[in-house]
Amino acid sequence: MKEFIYNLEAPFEYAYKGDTRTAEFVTLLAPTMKNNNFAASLTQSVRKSILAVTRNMVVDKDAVPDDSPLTGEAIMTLLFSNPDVDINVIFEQAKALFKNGGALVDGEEKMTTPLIEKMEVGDFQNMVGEYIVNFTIA
Amino acid sequence: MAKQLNDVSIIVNNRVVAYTADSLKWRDGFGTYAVRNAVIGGGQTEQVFSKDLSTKMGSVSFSMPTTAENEALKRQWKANDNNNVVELVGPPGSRFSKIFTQAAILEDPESNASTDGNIDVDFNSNPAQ
Repeated sequence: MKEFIYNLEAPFEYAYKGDTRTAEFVTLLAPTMKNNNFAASLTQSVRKSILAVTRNMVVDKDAVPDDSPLTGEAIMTLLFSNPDVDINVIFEQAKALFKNGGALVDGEEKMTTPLIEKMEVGDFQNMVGEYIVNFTIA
Repeated sequence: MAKQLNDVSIIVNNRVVAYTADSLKWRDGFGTYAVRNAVIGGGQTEQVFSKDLSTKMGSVSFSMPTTAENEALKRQWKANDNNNVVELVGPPGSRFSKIFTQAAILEDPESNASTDGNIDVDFNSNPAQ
């Protein structure tokens, strides 16, 4: 299965086999038919948002094309900066997807609401961005 | 103004538990302390203080409504031996948080299948962090 390792900038503590452990990374997993309903909602919202962003974009024909790969942070900046995008809808859909098989803490612990709540905002936003780049618009 | 702590979240193994209102109790696990007097003569005594380290255990107990989901949780926690972690988290702003590691259900928890029946869960653990 295709996956992406997101290294946390702000590690957090979580319960692991009777003790607490510090999370270092989150493995993002490509959607499967098991969680496709959550993934489909996110994909639709993201594509609608990108359409809304590009609709009003002025294209500079003389500009040199940027061949650098699109990053999660870049896509989030794009989505945040457009007033037509309801970013909270995207976040809620991403949370639902992460909790339903889309993300594993340290590659093994299922993502749950308390774990998402322990994450720093920046980490969560970048993680959503990386999920979008790797699995939604790829 | 002080506020009563009656809205604490219980998180077991990274999952939130829906429990019966007002049923949560815990012990931090300081253990019991003892004092006795030692005679030093002339009618005088000296206090000897000791901590019973064998009682230095945390505990968390609560009741959950008897549902199929909670029955499954109970079985899972019991089967997990002492590999459970229980976290208590107060409402935002309360700065209340406790973590009980290596938590085990020692007794066989009783479930009550009546209309307002509950499952009584009692974890014993390391002292609260």
